[in-house]
Amino acid sequence: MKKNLATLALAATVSTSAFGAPQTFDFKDPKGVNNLTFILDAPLEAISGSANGISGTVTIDRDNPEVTKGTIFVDATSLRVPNPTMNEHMHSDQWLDSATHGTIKFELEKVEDSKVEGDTAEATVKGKLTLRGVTKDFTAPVKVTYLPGKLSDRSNGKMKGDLLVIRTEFSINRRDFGINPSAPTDKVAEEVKIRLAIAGASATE
Amino acid sequence: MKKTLNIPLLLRSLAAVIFAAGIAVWLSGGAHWGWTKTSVPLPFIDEVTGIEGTRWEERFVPGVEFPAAGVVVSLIFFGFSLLFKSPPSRLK
Repeated sequence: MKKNLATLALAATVSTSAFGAPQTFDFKDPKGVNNLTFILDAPLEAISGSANGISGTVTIDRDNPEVTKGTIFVDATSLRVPNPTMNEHMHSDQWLDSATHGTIKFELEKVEDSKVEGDTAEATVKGKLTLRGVTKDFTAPVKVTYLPGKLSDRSNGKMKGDLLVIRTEFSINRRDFGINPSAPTDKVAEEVKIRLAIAGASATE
Repeated sequence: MKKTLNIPLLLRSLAAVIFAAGIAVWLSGGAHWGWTKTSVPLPFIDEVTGIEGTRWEERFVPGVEFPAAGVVVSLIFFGFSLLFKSPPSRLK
């Protein structure tokens, strides 16, 4: 009886993966590969930096990518620029106010215009971005790459499963999020170009 | 014979040393034309996922503040030196 149940469970597992049931990917990344980079290109000064405190989950159905849902969190305190004074200013209450608003949240609500080619898909995602306590709608083009069985390579054979790589680039206006609206735009650009490159893991055993 | 301290000469020498030190520190760090950095971004590509990212290395890179501060401080010292009269030359 026990053997029959185990066989049934195995058959169910195989059949759901074969038919492409929704799969959840965890973006917590102990290796620190997942990253967000930002660039503010003002006439007098270009500022760029990055963050790697990324976590969250995305659930994707490869047969029906338009129902993809998920939330990605970025630890605001992990954002950094090379200059120490600038770094201190960036996290201060006038700018990101990281002490009060420690999390940047990308909430995925809708996927449109998806084009799937093999294990790669391109689409437009719509969702909500919460930054410095302000939530605004955002739209971004994304490229998603499904890497079946690659979790083993990433974990040195300790885990088995799949990886999902998400890449996106889009811009926001820092004033929309109350990030020092009075700062001169010739030194600190209003437009913040954001690039997100993240990989999530879905362990099978 | 009493030795007189030549204050203008002392201040101008200090100005020259500060100016040279500012330039030297900047040049020793690779003459970086930007602000001083205490961490340096190093690009990487993850072999498994192909993700391009940045890792940070804690390293001090002096920026343009160093030669600029050297120039400003040395000019201040030089300016002060003009306020003092040089002691009369012993050759006269």
